[in-house]
Amino acid sequence: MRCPNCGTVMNRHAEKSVKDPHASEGEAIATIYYCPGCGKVEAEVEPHDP
Amino acid sequence: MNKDRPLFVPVILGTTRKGRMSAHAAQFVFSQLQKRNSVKTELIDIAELPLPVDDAGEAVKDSHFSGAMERADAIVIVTPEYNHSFPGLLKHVLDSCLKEYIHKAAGIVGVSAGVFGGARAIEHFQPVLRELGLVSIFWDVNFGTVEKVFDANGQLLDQAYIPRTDRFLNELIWMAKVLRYGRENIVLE
Repeated sequence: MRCPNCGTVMNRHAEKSVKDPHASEGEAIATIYYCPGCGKVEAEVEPHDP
Repeated sequence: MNKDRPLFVPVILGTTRKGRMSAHAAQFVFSQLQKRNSVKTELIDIAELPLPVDDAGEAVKDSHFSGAMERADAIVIVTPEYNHSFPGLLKHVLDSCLKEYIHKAAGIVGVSAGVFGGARAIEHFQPVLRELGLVSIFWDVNFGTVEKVFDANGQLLDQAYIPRTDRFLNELIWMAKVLRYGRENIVLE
């Protein structure tokens, strides 16, 4: 993933269980990216497959 | 670490109560951080954040607070101890973000009228920090019997808090640097 602020390649450094943003209940996995250039944080959320 | 971007370590004043002595503690820690050339800081008073209370979580995210947490490499949370724990409104504010905190350092400053200096509130905070993705350090600052630590104007009366706070900040900044290196360079397997 490239940083939407500065275009630097972001580092995928974590996966975190989160509330599913697309459903009233259930979990999802957020993949967290950090930009070494400007410090921006991005998350991609996918439904959790238990 | 990107040297063009100094560490950013905001201080969160975690109570809205009138007459709060925690404001003196937060101002003191903030002033100690300001003395460090390698660090940028900001004092965030949760009483000034316009978060609604008719919803919760990321639905009530405030852009200024979220932006500060995203920019942060570490956070200092100054919390009083109310009924043996931390204030509910502080939790409400912290719960408004999540991705912003992941793999960042957190240090807690406890404040109480009693002798324990917020120790029970700090212990209650540990599982919350873990779930938020923050990394807790092993130093705290405990402002016990806080009316004797600061005068009515917020002047520090007990100079022993200067070296204690320095040790706390030294550890927090070390952890912030390590975690920034990890966020920037170490890919999850």
